[in-house]
Amino acid sequence: MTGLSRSFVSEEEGGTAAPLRLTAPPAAVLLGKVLSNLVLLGVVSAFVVPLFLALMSFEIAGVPLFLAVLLFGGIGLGAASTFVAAIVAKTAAKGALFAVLATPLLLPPLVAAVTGTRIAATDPALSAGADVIRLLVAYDGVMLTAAFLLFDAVWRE
Amino acid sequence: MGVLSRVAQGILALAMLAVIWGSFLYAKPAANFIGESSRIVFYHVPMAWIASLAFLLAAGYSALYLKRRRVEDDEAAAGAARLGILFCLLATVTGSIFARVMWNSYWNWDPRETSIVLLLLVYGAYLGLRGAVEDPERKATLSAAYALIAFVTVPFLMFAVPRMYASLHPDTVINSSGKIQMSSDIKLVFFSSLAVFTAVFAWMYALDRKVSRIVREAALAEEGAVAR
Repeated sequence: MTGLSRSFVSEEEGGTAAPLRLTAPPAAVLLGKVLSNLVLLGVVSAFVVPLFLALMSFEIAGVPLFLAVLLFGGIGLGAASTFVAAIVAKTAAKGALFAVLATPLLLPPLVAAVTGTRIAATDPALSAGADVIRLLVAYDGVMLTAAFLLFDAVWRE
Repeated sequence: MGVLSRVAQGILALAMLAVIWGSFLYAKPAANFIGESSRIVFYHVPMAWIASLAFLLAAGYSALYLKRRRVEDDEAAAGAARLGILFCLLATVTGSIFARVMWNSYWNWDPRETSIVLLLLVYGAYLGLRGAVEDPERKATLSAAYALIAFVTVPFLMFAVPRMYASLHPDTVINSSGKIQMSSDIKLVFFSSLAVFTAVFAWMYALDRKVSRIVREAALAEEGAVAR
């Protein structure tokens, strides 16, 4: 999570933000950042999740539900934190502000993902977590749409 | 101050007195609630409604700012967020008092209680962001973007998440069956209270707009004096 906040800060500090603003459309920049952050999240999850399951001897009954929660939860977390990172990169107090701004936005998908994981631990059926998946997919859609609509203003500032 | 606004203030004061009198003496306590605890509905629900209204205004003016880039819109959004936090806090406190009477605990992390804390956090973060940016134009743009992205998560906090978990919170006024379940005396006082508190909010908001304008003009005048 803390790594994600750096994605725009490094561009601003390294002086690469201005050329990027000149050459690439804002939507392309945001898409690139969201995708690279999602890949990063995916790689981290691919290491951490099996390790956690093995070390905590935590058994998952509903593997499809668990994977769906990981996927859609990850997309929501990645999209929201990328957008907050873009805002934070323009301010003086970057790291501290990122935590303050991101926490309330990330809690709804986090709470839903925790609930989904709890259901997946005991119930093998995918349909048992349908509400959770629906909520996560809705959040992902809303967050991505809002981020693409608003990114233009933040990026050009 | 004009005569007309004096008269409006007088009417508002009388109406507020009538609502307070009605809430304690005219309306009868609702069934299914311990003792007199149902009377909190006349104060708690208007607070929550005004908080939602204020946050809607904050989001609306933020969108207007991004479109028109007028400093007035930014000030209007910030003022609405400030008042929204105030009324959100009042809704939390009145809800907590009700929780003490009904559930014997001021705070038990009911889904509704959790989501209102998150709502306070969202708008606290918004004001924190405003405090952290020096340049006025940059502050306005960034906080407008954050207000809008935060506003789209609010439905998840207020509607989706609390409905997924069992909550002790009584049915909201707009409930799943789409009917208002109140006796006629409660309904009368309730809707009067809603109207009166909304008028108070409108007044406070107008004052806030005026103060922001005076502060901005004073700062401009000072700058002009320094330049000379």
